Amino acid sequence: MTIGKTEKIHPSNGMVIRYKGIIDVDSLYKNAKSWFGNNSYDYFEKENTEKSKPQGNTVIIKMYGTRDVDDYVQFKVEIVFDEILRLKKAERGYMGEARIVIKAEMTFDYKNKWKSFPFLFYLYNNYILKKKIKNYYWPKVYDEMMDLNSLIKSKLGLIE
Amino acid sequence: MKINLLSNQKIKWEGITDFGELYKYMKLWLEDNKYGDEKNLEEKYIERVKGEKKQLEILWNAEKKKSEFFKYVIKTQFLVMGMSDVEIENNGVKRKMQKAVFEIQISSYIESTKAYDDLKGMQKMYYDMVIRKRINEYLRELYDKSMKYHSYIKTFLGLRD
Repeated sequence: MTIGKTEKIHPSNGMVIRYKGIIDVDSLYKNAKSWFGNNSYDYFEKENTEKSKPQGNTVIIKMYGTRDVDDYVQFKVEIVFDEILRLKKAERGYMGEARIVIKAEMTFDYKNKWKSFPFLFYLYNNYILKKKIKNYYWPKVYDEMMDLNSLIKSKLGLIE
Repeated sequence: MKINLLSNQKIKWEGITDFGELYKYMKLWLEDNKYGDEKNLEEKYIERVKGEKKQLEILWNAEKKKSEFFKYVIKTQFLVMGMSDVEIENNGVKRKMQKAVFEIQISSYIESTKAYDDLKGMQKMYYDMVIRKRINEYLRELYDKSMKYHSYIKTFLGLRD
C-alpha cells in the first residue's frame, strides 16, 4: 500500500456511534470541544445548526481540529454530530436520538514544500519515513481517535 | 497574497430571534474590535419580499490593518429565509421578534496590501527573511478574534458554545 498525501485512520464511513435515550448534549459538546484544546488541536466549527421543531429540536454540529505534529505531518480529527433528532428537555439533560461520526487522518507535507517534487515525495513517504509513519505517527493519531471515541461513549453511558 | 484561516464556518438557527438586535450587536462587535466602521462594512444588502415573508442576503467585509503590508479580513454572510414578524410575550411584556431560518457564514483570512504587492521581486526575500514568523503570530491573533466573534453570535442565538 502506497502512502500518499493523506492517510485515513478511520474506517471508510468513520467511526459511527448511534444512540437513543437521554443525552446531555451540553456536556457532550463542552467535553468534545475541550478534548481538542487538551490535545493541542487548533479547533474550529464548520457548522452549528439548531432547528426548533414541535416534535423536538434538531441539532447538527461539525467540529474539526488540526495539529501540526512537526514540520511535515499534520493530524486532523473530526467529530460530526450528524443530526441529533427529536431533542426534548428531560429531567436530566435531553431525550433524543443521535448519530455521531468520528474521523481522523494524517496529512503529509502540509506546508506543500515538496509540491514540485512528487517523485521525491513518494520516495520519502514510502521508503525513508515509512517505518516512522507505521510505528509512530499512525499509532499516535489512532490512539487519539480512540480516546475521543471513549470520551463520547462514556458521556453517553455506553460500553467502552 | 491571501492566507486563508477559517472558511465558511456556518451557524444556523431555525426559530425565533430578534434579528434587528442580532444585526446591530454583530456590527457593534466588529466596530468595537476596530474591524471597519458602519460606512464601509456592508458590501451587499438584498431584501426580497415574498407575500408575508422576507428573504435577506447580506454580506459584510470587515477589515483591520495590521501592518503596512498586511490586513485581517473577516467576511460575514447572512442568509435569512422565510422571515416573518411574530409577537412574543415574556414576563408580561410583548415584544416583536422574527421567525425564520437564519444562516450566518464566517470566513477569515490575511490579505496583503498594495504596498506588499509593490515589492514585486523582493516579496519572496522579505517573506522568508522577515515576515514568516510574524505571519504565524498574525494567524494566531486572527484565529482568536474570529473564534470570539463566532462564539458571540452563537451565544446571542442561544446555541451551544
